[in-house]
Amino acid sequence: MPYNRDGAIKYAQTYWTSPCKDGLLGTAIGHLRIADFRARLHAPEQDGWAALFVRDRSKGIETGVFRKTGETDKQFQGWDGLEDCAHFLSQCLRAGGATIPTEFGVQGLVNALQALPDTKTLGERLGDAAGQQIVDSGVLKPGDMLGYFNNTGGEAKREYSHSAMYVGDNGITCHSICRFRGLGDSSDDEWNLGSGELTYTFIHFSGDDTPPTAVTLNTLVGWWKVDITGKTFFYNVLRNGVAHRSDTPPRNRNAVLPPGGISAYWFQQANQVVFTWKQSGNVDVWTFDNAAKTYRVTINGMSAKVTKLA
Amino acid sequence: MSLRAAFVCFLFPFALSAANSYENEVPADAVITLQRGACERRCAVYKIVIFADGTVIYDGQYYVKRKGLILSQADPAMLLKLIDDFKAIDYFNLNNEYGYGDTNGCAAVRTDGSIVKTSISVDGRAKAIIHQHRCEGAIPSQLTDLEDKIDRFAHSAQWVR
Repeated sequence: MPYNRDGAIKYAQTYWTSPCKDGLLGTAIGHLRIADFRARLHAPEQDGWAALFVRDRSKGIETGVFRKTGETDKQFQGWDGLEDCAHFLSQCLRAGGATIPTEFGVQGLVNALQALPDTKTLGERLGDAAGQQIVDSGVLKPGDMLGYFNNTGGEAKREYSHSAMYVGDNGITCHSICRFRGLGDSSDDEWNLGSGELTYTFIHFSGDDTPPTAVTLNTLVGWWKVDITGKTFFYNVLRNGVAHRSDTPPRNRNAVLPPGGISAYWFQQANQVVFTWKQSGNVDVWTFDNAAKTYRVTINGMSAKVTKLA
Repeated sequence: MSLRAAFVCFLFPFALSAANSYENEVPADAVITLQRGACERRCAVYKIVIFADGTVIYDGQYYVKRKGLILSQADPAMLLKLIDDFKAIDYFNLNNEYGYGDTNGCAAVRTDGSIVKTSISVDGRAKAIIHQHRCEGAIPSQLTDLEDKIDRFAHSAQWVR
């Protein structure tokens, strides 16, 4: 059964400002139980104590509190150590039917998603501009996942440090800090989090992608010579939705590039085919010209000349 | 200084005070603290307390190589230079907060940043500043440099990275 994007989004809409339905909380010292906090702080749910994440924008922090009308908030988790993003995201994705375990670490979540047969990594650790090309390509859909890799070191380690779900309109939802584009204050819920210190990984659920048309399969699959701005590349477009790129021409039309090189996924979008190149974030748009019996191609918006190799 | 006594001072860094000149030697009451807090990118969370005799207490909390308390010794002769670094940016006359609660003193505000608290108690005077690293500007940049100098004095990188 394909991933249910609406189910994942609906879960996020319900829990984006509160601990997840499973009653667990991701923290820097491991996952903790909200029920244990309730017992320790004498804040039972049946007495009207709601568990919430409360953001203080002026200080740039968020805390977990139990809140009840007419009572002072009882804090159960301070900002230092609050780390529920991967947990929240794994619960959203599981609510959409993704067959992944509950995860508390971002690297684990990325690994679990990349291991699924129905996901495609559109771009891996891309910079801001390349990431925007992926977002603008139309391939990334609400319910897909973004991983944030801390790229600069400094105060934080070079590692996956944050995760979010794309909800459309350039926006995301996440925990720690809580965001949901369109539901809260939208000053910082753009997909890139406005940071120049991060790189971005885009993981797309592909089970509901438009299948390629017969015309596309007949005309696109094979080797292509691609000329753009004085450079020449060679694409090997495969039937399974993958393409590889080489700087040297193939020895023959059946040549196969070794795995691990520069690769893309290609997607049917109406009468066009869109390539997303994983390592660079380049986006090709190929439009079949029926009269000329070949493709008109743009790469990152710039015209390219393509020639199919016989 | 015993670890226990040092930790008491860690908790109450302004409890020590005396009126000394520190033209040529470090006043005995000197205490410098640095406390780095969390950020969305999972910044290292730890505290450092430095005493006049060069004693360093490190308390690693989250996203650090070493968690918990470590007692160490830095070169007390270099402490005068560190105190001078506070003076050089007119630390005692700066705001108490930068980017924490308001944006006074910030030329720009980024999305994410850690909250770094510094303090100094020396020669009977005490001052603490909360610096939210989202806040960018001339003085916040000087504070960032000062915070890094405290780290370097304490050789904290060996426990943090």
